[in-house]
Parts: sequence; C-alpha cells; structure tokens
Amino acid sequence: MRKDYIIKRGIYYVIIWFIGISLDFILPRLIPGNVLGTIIYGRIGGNLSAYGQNVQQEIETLVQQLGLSQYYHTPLYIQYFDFLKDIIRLNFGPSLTEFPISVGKIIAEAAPWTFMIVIPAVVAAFFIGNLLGRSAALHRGGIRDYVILGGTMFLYTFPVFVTGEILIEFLAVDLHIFPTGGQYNTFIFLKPTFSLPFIWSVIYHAILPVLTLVLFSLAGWIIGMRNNMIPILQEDYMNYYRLMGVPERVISSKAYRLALLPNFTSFSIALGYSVLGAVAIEYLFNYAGLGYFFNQAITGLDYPLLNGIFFMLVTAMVLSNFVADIIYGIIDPRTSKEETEGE
Amino acid sequence: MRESKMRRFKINKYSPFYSLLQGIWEQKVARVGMYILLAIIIFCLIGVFWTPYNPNSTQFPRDLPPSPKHWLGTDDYGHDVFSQLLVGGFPVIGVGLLTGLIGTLISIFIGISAGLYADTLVDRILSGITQIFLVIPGILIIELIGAYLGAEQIKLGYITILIALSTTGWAWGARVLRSLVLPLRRREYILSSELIGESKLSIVVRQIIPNNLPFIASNFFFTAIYGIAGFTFIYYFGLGSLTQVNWGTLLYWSLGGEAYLRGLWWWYIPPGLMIGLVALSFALINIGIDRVANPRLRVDNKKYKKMLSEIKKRRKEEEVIEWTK
Repeated sequence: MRKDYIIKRGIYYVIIWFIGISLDFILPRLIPGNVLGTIIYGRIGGNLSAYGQNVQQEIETLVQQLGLSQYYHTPLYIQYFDFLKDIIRLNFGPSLTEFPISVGKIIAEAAPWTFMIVIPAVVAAFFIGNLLGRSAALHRGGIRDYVILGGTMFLYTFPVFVTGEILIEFLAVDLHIFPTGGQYNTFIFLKPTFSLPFIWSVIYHAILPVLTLVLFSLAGWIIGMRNNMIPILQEDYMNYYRLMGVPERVISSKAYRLALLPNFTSFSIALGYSVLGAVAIEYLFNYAGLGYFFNQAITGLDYPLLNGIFFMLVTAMVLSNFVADIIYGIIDPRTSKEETEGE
Repeated sequence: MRESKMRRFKINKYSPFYSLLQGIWEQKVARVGMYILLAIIIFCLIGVFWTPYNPNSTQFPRDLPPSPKHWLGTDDYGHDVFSQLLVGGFPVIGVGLLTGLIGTLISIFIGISAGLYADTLVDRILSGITQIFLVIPGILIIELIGAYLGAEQIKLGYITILIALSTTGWAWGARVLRSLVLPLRRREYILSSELIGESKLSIVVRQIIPNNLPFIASNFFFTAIYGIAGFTFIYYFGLGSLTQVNWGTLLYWSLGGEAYLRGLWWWYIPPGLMIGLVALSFALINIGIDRVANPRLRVDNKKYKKMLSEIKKRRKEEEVIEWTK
C-alpha cells in the first residue's frame, strides 16, 4: 500500500514539474515583442555598422551559435518538443552573458556553492528554532516568550536582503570580522583545492550568508514549535504525568519530542524555500551560486541561463515537496492509506 | 420610517464579523500590531500633505549623514531620504493590503468551490491548479515574467505587480479552505438548508463563509505579508517601475549604489525598517487571529502555574501523610 502511495505522489509531482518547466516555454511566447531580436541586438547592436552588408548572415550564424533556433518560426508543437528534448538532455545552450561557456557548466559549478550555504543554514535554523520555540512555549505569556516571538517575527518580516546588508556593513565593513563577499579568498587560492586552509577559507566566507539565512528562517520553526507544543502541554496525559509527580523537565522533553514530529515533515520544504532565500542574498554577498547567476541572467537578459536556473529551482521545489510527502506518509500512515482509498 | 433606517445601521453584536473583531481586539499581540500599522499609516498620511523638502529634488549635497537639517541624510543622487520615506509608504501598504484582499477573494472562490464539489471533475481541476501554485513559488514566476518583459524595456507598474502577486499568492488559502469546507458540507444544518431549497450561493455566503471567518481573516494578512515581500523582491531584482518614489525604489537605488559597502546606513535601513514594520504589524495581527480561531493557543499561563503549584502542594501533603504513616 505504501509503495502505491509513493508512486501515486510521484506521478502527481512529475505532472506538476512538467507544467512548471513548461512555463519556461510558454511565458516568453505569451509576452508581446521579439525576445530573439532583443538578444541579437544586445550582442551586435552596438557595432551594427561594423557588420556592413552581412548583417542578415551574421544574425543567422549568431542564432546558430547561441542555440536560439527554438525562437524561429517553426510550428509551436515542434518548438515545444525541441524544448523538452533540450531540457531532458540538460542542454540549455551557451550563456549569453558569459558567452562561450554553456549554461549546464555554469549551473554545475554554481549549484554546489548554493548548497554550501543552504544546507548548513536549514540545519542550524531547525535546531536553534526548535529550541527557542520550546523555550517560548514553556514560558508562554512571559517576558521570554514575547522577546523570542517578537524578535524573530521582526527578523522574519524584515526584507532578507536588508538583513544581509546590515550584517555586511557592521560585521564586515566596520568591524572587519568577516569578509564582505566571495566564496573563498581569491588572493591566496586561485583555484579550488582540497587543502585544510582552503576549506577553512570556504567556511569563513560562508558564515555571513548562512547567518542571514538562519535569521530569516528562524521564525517559521519557532512559531511551528510553539504552536505544536502549547496544546500538547495542556493535554490530559501531560497532566496525568504531573499528577504522578514526574518532574517538569521530563514532561517538557516528552512534549518537545511529540511536537517535533510535524516539524520534521516541513524540513525538506524548508530546504526548498531556503534555496529561494539564497537566490535573494547571494548577489549581495557576491557568492557565485545559483542566485548570483539568476540575478545576472535577469539584469543581463541572458535567457538560456535564466531558463536553466528556473529549471533547477522548480526541480528543487518539486523534489523537496515530494520528499516531504513521503516523510509525512511514513510518520503518519493514515495519510498514505486515505490517499490510496480515494478520500 | 426613520426608526427602521436607524435599526438597519445598528451593530449586530451577534454577527460573526463583530465577534471576530472583538476577539482580535482582546488579543494583546493583535492590538500591538494594529497600533504599529496605525502609526505607519499616520506617518504616510503626513507625507501626503507635508514633506521637509521636495522628495524629487536632487539639489542637496550627496551622501550627507543624518543631521538636524536632513533627518535621515541624503543619498547618492542628492535626494533628501526622509522626504522620500514620507512619500513612499502608501504604494507598499496599498499593494500589500490589496494583494491580501484579491488573493483572499480568489482563494475563497477556488477553495470553497473545490470543497463543495469535492470528488468531481471541478474539484480535480481546481485542486490541481492549487497544487501547482503551491509547489512552484509565485515570486519565481513573476521574476521570469519580469525578465522577459525587461527585453521590451517594460518595467512592472503598481497594477501589474498587484495582479501578478494576487494571482500567485492565493494557493495556500485555497487548499486550507477546501479542507475546512469538506467536513462542513456534511453537517446537518447545511444539509437541511439544501433540503429547504436554499441556493448554493446563499449557503456559501450565509453559512460557510461566516463559519470560516477567522481563517479567512488570517489568510488575508498572510497573503498581505506575501504581497509586501513580493513587492520588495520585485524591486530588489530591478523589475519594478522606477518612475515613482516608494520604499521599494529606495531599496533598489541604495543597492545599486552599494550603500552597504560604503557605510551609508541611513539610505537603506529606514526603508527596510518601514517595510519590515508593516509586515510585522500584519504578522502580529495574524498571530492574534490564530489565537481567536484556535483557543488552545491562547496563553493562560497564570491558570497553568496555579494548577502546577496546587499539584505540588498536594504532592507534598501526600508525602507528609505517607511519612506520618
């Protein structure tokens, strides 16, 4: 029965993924104007006269070089099949802003850096947030509750990149504790190497972006934990423990473990959303991950790169939701049963 | 004649809307949120009638730190930051609240119709669309659209941003509303209304919506927070129209001027702080509504502590009795 549930969910998410990546195909064609023309103009527009008579030929070779023939006037369904073929082969063509380098190569180099800051940030936020949420729930209505809840709500609603800007200005520019940006010290290390000082440099450079992401995502865990734990603390079986004389410390740890369960299922979804958060702050920290190139693609009108990164982000979101569903099915077997029986 | 008209405007103290408002007002958290929001709105109202300088004039010396003459200094282009801050508030608050309103209306429509027609083709299609919007982040789609519009030198104006945000921000509310309506439609009072011959629309308006009012109100503020976050993100990525002054454009220019690397904190912290405070006020009201909707989240620590101490006292008495035995 469980295998059935996983397969069903899998098909479901494949459909959603399919529609998501198709947006990549549909949107540029719905928008008025000629995207291809803009791209060509961006590349040769400045020195159009230099090409003289051969403009038409030059344009055609450029189209071939850039792999943009999909925008030519072939029938839509053929364009769509070409698009799908390219995506399944992970072939997005060369990037326009970093011209000869292919989009696939840029993404392959950028994605590990994004995970470098996203995974530690989500893990740290999970632990710190749950512990703070527990503390808020145990002291509910007290000063500690208000400070924790108010402080993290404020951090959560504060635009995440402004938090990053403040951290950079005060910790990096004014106090010189951390570097202002980059993934590692490019003055010492010209290329990534596997040595201890290099790894230390990578960690050192990742601290500020990770801190920004943690501050941003803390509130979700805290509120989740607090809202799960307060009702559990008031349950009859908890009162029964108290009547038996079980110390409050033991009771709170029991309630904590019960309240942790729903938070586990949100873990993978939080991973997906933190990738989005990273997209927002990487540009700020000059951190050449997916977000950095996403920003570059938007400002530089680099559509192949934009497509590639959009594809990566959609895939990340769909995967994280799928994993969350599977975890939820394992933790709470009722969901997988209900689904297979059809509501 | 006059009396009957008067009666019509009398507040019905038993209406779900009134009791919800009263419940929210009783929550201290929500009240703090409302005061913050009110203060910000007054601040923006002042900006409508009075600013220390013309917010668009670039005649001042550049990059001045805060001083009595320029309360929040000047920026790279010679604008007075405080004047810009006064003027630029209403677009942000307006887009946030309207996104909340339109997004909630869409989620009411889709969620309730999916719930009422559960297990039919209508429900399958609506739930499918909801799932897609739930999994694929709306801000990502907006950025994609904005990037393609950028090729045509088109920047997103307020109306476009509003439409884009409210058409992508409704999915969570719709899903929860569907799950709330599902058990409701089997209830006796809804069935009996159906048997009497009450129309579906009337049942929705008079029974289902009032029954789920706390959730709808909370969804309104939740979507409004999404609206404000989305607004700032659109400007952060440089996709928003820069013809008018608002907190988003202030952030955009300060980012472009690398204010955070040059120590010009008065340029980017005030707009960021104001945006954060608006969203914070919505979030606090939201927490208050959550406590109204879910009484188990209400904080009654005093009662709980009293109970604890009573239990402890009893334990001690029991111990004493056992000991004396």
